[in-house]
Amino acid sequence: MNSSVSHLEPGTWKSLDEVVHEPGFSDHAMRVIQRVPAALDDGEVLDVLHHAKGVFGADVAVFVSFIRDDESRESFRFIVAADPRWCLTYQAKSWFSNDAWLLYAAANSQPTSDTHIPLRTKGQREAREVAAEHGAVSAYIVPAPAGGGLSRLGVLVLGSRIPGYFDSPAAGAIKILARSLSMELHEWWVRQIRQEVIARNRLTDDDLQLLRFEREGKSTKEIADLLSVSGVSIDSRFQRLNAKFSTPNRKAAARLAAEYGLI
Amino acid sequence: MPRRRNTVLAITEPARTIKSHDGSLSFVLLRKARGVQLERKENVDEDSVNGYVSLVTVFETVQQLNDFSDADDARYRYPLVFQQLRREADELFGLAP
Repeated sequence: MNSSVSHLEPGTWKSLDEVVHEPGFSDHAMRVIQRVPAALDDGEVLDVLHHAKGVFGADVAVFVSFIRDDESRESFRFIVAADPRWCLTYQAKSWFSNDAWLLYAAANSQPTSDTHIPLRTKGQREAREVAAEHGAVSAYIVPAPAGGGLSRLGVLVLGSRIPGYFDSPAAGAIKILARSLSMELHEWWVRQIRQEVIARNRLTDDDLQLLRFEREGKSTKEIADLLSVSGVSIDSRFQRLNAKFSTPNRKAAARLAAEYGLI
Repeated sequence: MPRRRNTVLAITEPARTIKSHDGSLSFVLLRKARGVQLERKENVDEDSVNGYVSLVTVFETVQQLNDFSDADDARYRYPLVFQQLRREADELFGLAP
């Protein structure tokens, strides 16, 4: 790995310090970030990520979302403003459970340069090398703290071909903006998942209300009294919900609904 | 948030979906102003992940998309899917912006 920028043509790159001191930098970044909530689909979010990458002077940007449905099922989604072959290698090597950056994001909320994240295993070092090969010689890891605990996680990775780019003191100037972007991206993705789950399972408002009651620990009798229906009716409705979610019981269905942010 | 009146709309080309026979792997391609957007989704059942992995990205040239396709190990398990992927990509990149 090059330890200098001599391989880059002079005048073709700017330091992070120069980028953040450009007139209107913060305003421009905020305008880009504010596009996320209004994005209608993946393509628009991807477009925002491309623009954000440019605003921060980065060469690559990837946003990773992780959601755990239950003990047996989980999903990873990558929005990639970079060479997507990076993600193919990542998946082929099954680095998900041992990724140093994801592990950092699972335990920390502060954005950080990758140099502050120790690489403890051969797999982690290999993953780091592959990231550098795909444009993240220097990387800024930005967790998106989410209310789902370890069952929902979002991480923004900004990468630069310039060694030490994100080790600059100027990284402090992008910390809040990068975190805002990461959180908006994560919230957008959670909303998408929520809509997909509702549509796929044909969930109604009554279904969601029932799941909330279950999540609150209410008994069948309490729910029946609140809704002025029989306990048999409540049990029957929960059975239908279990079938929709493919869960063994109402508690699991309610937990799944909570994990997806439905309740 | 309403679109601004002078916003140039992306080409309204329907998305093209390619699925493996077992439903484990799918690609969705969509022509965009920037190039061709691709979503790849694969069901995974391994120690590290039991669920699915997906990615969405955009390719500015057909060569980039073909390079991506050539790097995908799934092409050995689903050769017909990747043959169709290349055909669809060639067509989408052949459209005038």
